[in-house]
Amino acid sequence: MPLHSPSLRRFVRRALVDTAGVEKPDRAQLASAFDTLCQRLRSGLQPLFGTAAVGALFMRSVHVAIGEYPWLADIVPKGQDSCTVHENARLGSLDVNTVHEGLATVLALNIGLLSAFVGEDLVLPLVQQAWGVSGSSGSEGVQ
Amino acid sequence: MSESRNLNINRLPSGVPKLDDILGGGWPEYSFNLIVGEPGSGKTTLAHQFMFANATPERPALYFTVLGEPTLKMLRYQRQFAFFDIEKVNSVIQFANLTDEALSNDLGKVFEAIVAKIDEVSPKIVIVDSFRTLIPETSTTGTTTVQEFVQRLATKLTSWEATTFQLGEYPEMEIRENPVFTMADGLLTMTQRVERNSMVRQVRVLKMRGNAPQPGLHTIRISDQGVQAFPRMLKPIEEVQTAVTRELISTGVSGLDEMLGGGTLRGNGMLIAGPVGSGKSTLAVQFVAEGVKHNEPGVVVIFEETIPKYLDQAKALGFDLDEMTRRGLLEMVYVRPLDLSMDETLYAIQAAVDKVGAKRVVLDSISGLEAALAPAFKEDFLESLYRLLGALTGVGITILLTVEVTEPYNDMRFTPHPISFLTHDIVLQRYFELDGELRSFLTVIKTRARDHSRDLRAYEVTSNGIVVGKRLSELRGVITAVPQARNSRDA
Repeated sequence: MPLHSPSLRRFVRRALVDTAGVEKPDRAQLASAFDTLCQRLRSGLQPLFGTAAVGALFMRSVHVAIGEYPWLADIVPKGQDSCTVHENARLGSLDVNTVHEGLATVLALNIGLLSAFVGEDLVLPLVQQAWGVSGSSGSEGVQ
Repeated sequence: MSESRNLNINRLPSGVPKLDDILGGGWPEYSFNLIVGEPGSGKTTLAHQFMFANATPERPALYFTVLGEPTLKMLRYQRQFAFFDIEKVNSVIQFANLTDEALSNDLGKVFEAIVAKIDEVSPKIVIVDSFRTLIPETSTTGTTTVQEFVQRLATKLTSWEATTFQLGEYPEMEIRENPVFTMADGLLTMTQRVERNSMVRQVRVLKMRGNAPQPGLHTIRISDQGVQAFPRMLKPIEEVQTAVTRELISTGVSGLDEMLGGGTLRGNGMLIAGPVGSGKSTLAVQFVAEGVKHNEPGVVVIFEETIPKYLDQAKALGFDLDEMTRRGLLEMVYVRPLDLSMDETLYAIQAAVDKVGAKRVVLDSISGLEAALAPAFKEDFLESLYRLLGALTGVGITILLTVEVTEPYNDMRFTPHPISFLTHDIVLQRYFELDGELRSFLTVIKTRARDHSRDLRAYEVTSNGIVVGKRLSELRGVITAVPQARNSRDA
């Protein structure tokens, strides 16, 4: 799976909306949804891959995503143990669609990086399980 | 009183071809096993093969990874193997990472984490990789000693009716001294070493309670199929001996048959010794083609030429080996990795023999066979050749071996190896000079249990193969390679 797979990003964007619980989430709702999905993903992956590996991959995905969305550097967590988005003035200044796309990119890259290592057929079921999404909206949704 | 009954121990297949033979039937169910060896020796792959071969909904597996190879890397590389079945992962096979617990350096915490996961998954197969990283060098960590930890773990896993494997990097010296190893039901060591440019990997079963494993070191190879084992012994020769019809069969060269007293006996080993270019391979091809002509399948094992080249050369002599292969009457085996163990070679030949039901086998040449072996196995060359010949001739297969002679012409040794005792018939090909030309002659040195010609006969390699001519009765000193006309002495 390419790290920049558009279908994977669409899948994550949909997951953010579903987790926010509203069809058009605002910035704060997106930030909260990101926190939830990030935590669930870690909880799902850590028993298998270990805290250090999962944290390292998350930091790497943040690093790559910042290359595409430099403003992420001001709002996404710097430590590998945290998932909490900084709801600061920088976040408030951004267009909501941009926030949606940027946060989705971080999580999509995280999943993509892991898939590059061990295969998407192993990773996607873990993601679906962690996020509580079905096969139809999960793996098939990223094809 | 009730009559005593022995307990039947169920054995689980290792998932590694031929390893079950070495283990004495497979891994005993519910056993607590240690697999030890240096990094890269194949422990993780061996454990995965077992897990993927045996994990089912009724027999779920739990694989703990600790501080050694990160799970991410381990899964990445294990996925390359053919046995890795993604469908089983996270369904009947669960992976669990114990890195955080191991870093706490408290064995009590590690034990609790293992127990919690076992209670959750209820596995029937448990693997801890790597055991050594779980137990640091110090004998006591936290409040739990190493021995206590292992004892508790072994008891817990046994009570869960789990077949357990602990993998670890332990040198052999430590195995003898470390009390941890006395607790194991099974103990398998895996070694690897580089000799010149050859990688030699071997396994040894040091202990296998409830089984009768094969002793000694056995070669393994790791390919995209995973680990493959080559038990050191083919079946003992006395076990494979069957009643063989001792009929005479043609070598495919009528003049030679005549010299041999009517051909060679079925189930014999015949050695063709001669210098380079003397027609040994030609004779070998005629031998196997003669069998095919009578619907006797054959195997040609070559070590020097590639198969296409060998087929071309045979075709030039009028023998279409390719067509014989297509008809299922011939199997060509090319062996030349230069780091083979003899056992791998034996199994490759045995597989080809079984495939076509061979009655005739050609080894062309045993000089090439020796060259293909890793240096470590050359010491056992003669013994291994003896086992190979015994295993094949014992079931009535007739073998023709070629060997290149490089000694001076006035030296009558047939081969650099004292192998003549291994074969029943020996035919020697030689060059000699006559009238400014290099000519060839052959002679039968030995036939076991029957009379044979002592003639030195000229022969030619023609477009139809070897044609044996008349006895060189008009020459003397032929074996010196520079004969004289017999009448020149008389003059």
